[in-house]
Amino acid sequence: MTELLGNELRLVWALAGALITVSVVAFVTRRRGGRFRALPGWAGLWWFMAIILVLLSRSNRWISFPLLAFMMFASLRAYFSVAPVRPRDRYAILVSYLAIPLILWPAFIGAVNLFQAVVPVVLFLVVPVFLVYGTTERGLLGSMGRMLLGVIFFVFCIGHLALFAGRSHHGLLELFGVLVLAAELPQRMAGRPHPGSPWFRPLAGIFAAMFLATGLGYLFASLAGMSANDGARAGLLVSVAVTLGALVSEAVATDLEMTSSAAVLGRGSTMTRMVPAVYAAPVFFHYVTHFAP
Amino acid sequence: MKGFFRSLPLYLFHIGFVRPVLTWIVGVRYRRRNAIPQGPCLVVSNHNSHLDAAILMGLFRLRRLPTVHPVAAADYFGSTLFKQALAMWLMNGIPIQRRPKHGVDPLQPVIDQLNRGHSLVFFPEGSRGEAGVVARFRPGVGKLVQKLPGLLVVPVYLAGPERIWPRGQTVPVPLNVDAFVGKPRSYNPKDGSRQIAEQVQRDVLSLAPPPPPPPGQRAEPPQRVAVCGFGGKTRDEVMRAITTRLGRHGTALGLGSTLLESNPEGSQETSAPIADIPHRAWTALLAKLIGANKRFSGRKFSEKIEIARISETIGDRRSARFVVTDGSALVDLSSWAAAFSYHGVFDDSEMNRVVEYLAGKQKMPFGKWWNFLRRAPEVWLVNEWSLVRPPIPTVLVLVLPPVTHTMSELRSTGAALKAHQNEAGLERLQQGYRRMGELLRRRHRVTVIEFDPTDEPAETIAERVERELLRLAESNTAADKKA
Repeated sequence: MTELLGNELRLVWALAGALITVSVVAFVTRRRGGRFRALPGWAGLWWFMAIILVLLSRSNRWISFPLLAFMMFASLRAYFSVAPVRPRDRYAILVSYLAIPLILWPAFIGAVNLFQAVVPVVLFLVVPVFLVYGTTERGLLGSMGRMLLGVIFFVFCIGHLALFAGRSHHGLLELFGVLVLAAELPQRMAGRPHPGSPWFRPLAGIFAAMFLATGLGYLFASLAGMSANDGARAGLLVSVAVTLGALVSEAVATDLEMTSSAAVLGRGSTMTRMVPAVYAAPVFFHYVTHFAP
Repeated sequence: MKGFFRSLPLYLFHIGFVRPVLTWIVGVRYRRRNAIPQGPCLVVSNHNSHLDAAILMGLFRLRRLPTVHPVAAADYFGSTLFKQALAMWLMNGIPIQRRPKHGVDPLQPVIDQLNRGHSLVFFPEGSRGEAGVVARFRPGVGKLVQKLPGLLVVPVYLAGPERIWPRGQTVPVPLNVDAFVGKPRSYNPKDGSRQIAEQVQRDVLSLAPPPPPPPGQRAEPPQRVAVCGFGGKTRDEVMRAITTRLGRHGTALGLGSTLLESNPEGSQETSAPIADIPHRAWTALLAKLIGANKRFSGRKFSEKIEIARISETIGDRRSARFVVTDGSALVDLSSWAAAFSYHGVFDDSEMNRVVEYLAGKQKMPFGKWWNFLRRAPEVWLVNEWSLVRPPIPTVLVLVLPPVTHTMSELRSTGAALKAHQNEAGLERLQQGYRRMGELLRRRHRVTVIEFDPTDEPAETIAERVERELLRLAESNTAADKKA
């Protein structure tokens, strides 16, 4: 019993508590329609994400990395299924999938510098070759933009989570999970800014998210081996990154004509559910590595 | 025991390979999978990829696998031992000859299996064809229906396999697949086989989601025509006439009790899409709970909401040039509110606010909730629960026959009249529609055409709407060029 409540596992319980809160809110408001319609799906996805975060942090890499790779693959596949790409781009899509193990391998062996080098080489030098190979078709730039954006979101950004794997970063992933949930929930409940709706509600959501994430960062930082001030700053940064990620995903979704849920039959929802979180991953990683080691 | 050993490779192949690949690598999502009947049936679908048969077999529970057979072309799948083993042994297929010898019925093996109580997966196109193109269904499916009257046919539309593994490609690329399952139905065996095949094709295509937009510049949003006012039958007739007329200039979709699609090649009608929408019951229940059904039933309310939702989706996807709707949630709900809930109280800006609440352009302030909940709860429901954002039409056709005519029609049905169905009530409703039309004309530049069906035929009004829309399109093009 003392082991279950010990310092080691306190952040896991905090993450579980955050997830339960999110799930209860989603359950209670699920019938309200509008912006609340997306909450149950988002909460469901986070249970899966939380399991991966805990496994990455505390289990063998042979268990956690394949799960993380599958999550990257499934989200990239869902993105490519809704993003209009030319039929001849299928080999570039295949290469994007194959980039997942290639990018995870340096993280698996703990070579952070190699990870930083492999990503731009694969993304900006290899994938475009498969897009332009043997074609003079129009629409190349549009295709390339759509494809690279997907790889950046779902391979490069999520890949940063793998760099936290192992005992040296004990608890940081759980803290990351708690901070992202704290930053996303108020914003999702308040809704996104759009023409016609009162401006103060989304703004209140953003401020509430910043306040909550900063507060929780301050409270839980010591459990992850950080100072309280560093934790608070990490919380603030994560909430800003989540806000920007939400804006970007919203804009991309609008450009992909995913405004009506009926139009994409739920496929595109993976993007709007995940992008705010994956956007925050590199920010959190670089802050922790370079400014709050 | 013999049967068990015969089925063993089939089970092993499906449990160990097909289903895990479909679930984890391809990510197939089945929509309305529970529509598959327990007894024998014929599953028909569009065909673009080798994956199709495996995806459709995934519709059935594992224990039914030995009694499900995909129908495979003998000339293709019998060409090598590997293909034969894969198709007939591991996939439980039945070979049929695409070019049979004279006097041989190629469908006989299929009929035999159906008579044994087995189910079949059948591709009426006959071959995979060009990726993303549904070829004309061959009459074979019609012949099967003729030979086995009462046969349950399950239409399925597969979206996605053509991107994963199209014809001519050797390497499959994982992307998501959606399988839309329609209601099982039987066809009239007295119809010709070609006619039955066409009906089956229509049922399969009616399940297709709106096509994704092509990369590049977005097409213009559709021009919308709403036919509102009195007389359900008359409105339906006007909606059809306008849709058919506009179909000469591009794809026009008519949304009412049925879905009418019209284009320069002709018009076709598919079964009512609104009746099949499962969450429609939820909207009706909501309307009932909130008390929105004082003058129109929950069913009518949910129908209006679903029509508006479909219209909104069509607009988002730019999948038609014209959308004609029988009724409009925006016009109908606001006119009813103006006529019965706020008669004489609303000024223009108040009425315009109701329009903006309904169209989702403004959120209703908390302070006004009680007022709306008491007088026009349906407006509150649409706005606060974000049920839909009914689009503002480009042209509004108000079907307003003389009140005496409407009353005599209502009396002739013999049904009990509702509280508002009297001369005074209908007069108020007419005024409500006219006020709303006037407001939309002034504030939202909507072209409003009033139509008295006792005076002129539906064709005349269709012609006027056509003229008006063409004029608007021309002036828009001129404005674009100028800009």
